[in-house]
Amino acid sequence: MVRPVLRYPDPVLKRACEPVSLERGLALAEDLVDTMRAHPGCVGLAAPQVGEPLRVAVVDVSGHRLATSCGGLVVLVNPTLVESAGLKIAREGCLSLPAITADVARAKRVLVGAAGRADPLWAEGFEARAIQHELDHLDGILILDRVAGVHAIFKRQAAG
Amino acid sequence: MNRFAVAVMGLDRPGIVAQVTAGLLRLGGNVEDVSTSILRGHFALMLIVTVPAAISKEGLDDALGVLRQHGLALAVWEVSGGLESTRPTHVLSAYGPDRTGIVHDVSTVLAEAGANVCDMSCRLHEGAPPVYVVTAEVALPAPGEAAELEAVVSRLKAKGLDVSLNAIEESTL
Repeated sequence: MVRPVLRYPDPVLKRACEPVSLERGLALAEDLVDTMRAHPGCVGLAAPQVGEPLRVAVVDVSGHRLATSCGGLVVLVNPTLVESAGLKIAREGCLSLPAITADVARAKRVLVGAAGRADPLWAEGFEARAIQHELDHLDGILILDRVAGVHAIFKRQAAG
Repeated sequence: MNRFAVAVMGLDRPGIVAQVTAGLLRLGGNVEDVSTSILRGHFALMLIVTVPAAISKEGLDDALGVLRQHGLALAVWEVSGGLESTRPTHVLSAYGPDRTGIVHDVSTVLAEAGANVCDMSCRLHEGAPPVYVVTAEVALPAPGEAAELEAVVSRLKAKGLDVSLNAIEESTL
């Protein structure tokens, strides 16, 4: 089911989310996938963005021109960042801040564990960036909290 | 050699910097430091320049005075000392739904903490709903003290703003 996407300053976007059972998390992930797919160009969505303060997010960078790793549809229930390495600054947008883009420093490579996954997921580059953006949402952190400097916030060219 | 600050502002159009520097070059002036910004379609240009000792403030003002005939505001004043800029220790991001007083709230909390604003940008992002965002590079008086960071963040949050204060990390490569 496609859900409405909340925008800042909705308070759900600024709080730390709660852990969730695998069953409930996977059910919620289905709505997140439907909602992500309903927004062209969207490569990830986190539960608080649809009003659920729970630790669930989805990422899918399939076919994206910037992707150098691709785990297909990645469902993250109670995810944990196991390891990260490298640092790169690049511009990000967010459905919950539709008028803004920001230059954000992220790790280049991440190893992420999640409930229901036997092995942690390796991701790099754009996919690693998308995963870190969604993990931030689960802690109430937005791109405005990660700006690399005074001149790192921009108006979005076309509202997304 | 005399050192002056020059400030120019007016409706944005191509050629403002070229016009200012042409006037300076005719006097043998040397541009030491420049900062520009576009604020709601108005171009602002600030320079620190040195000119030969024979050139007075009035002489520099006269040489650049043609700018006023082109619709630009111009101010010239002599400066001495303060050649080193303060180095920022942290990037502050403070944001919230638009209202009057956000810039004053942020700058007052910083001033009371003894934090120096090195660079600042305040902008309304006109989405739905509109979000006002203040970003500042600041030099905290005791940047290593977590209590000081906490105090600044909690006082800004008490103003109803969402706040992040992150250390500027420098690597020598």
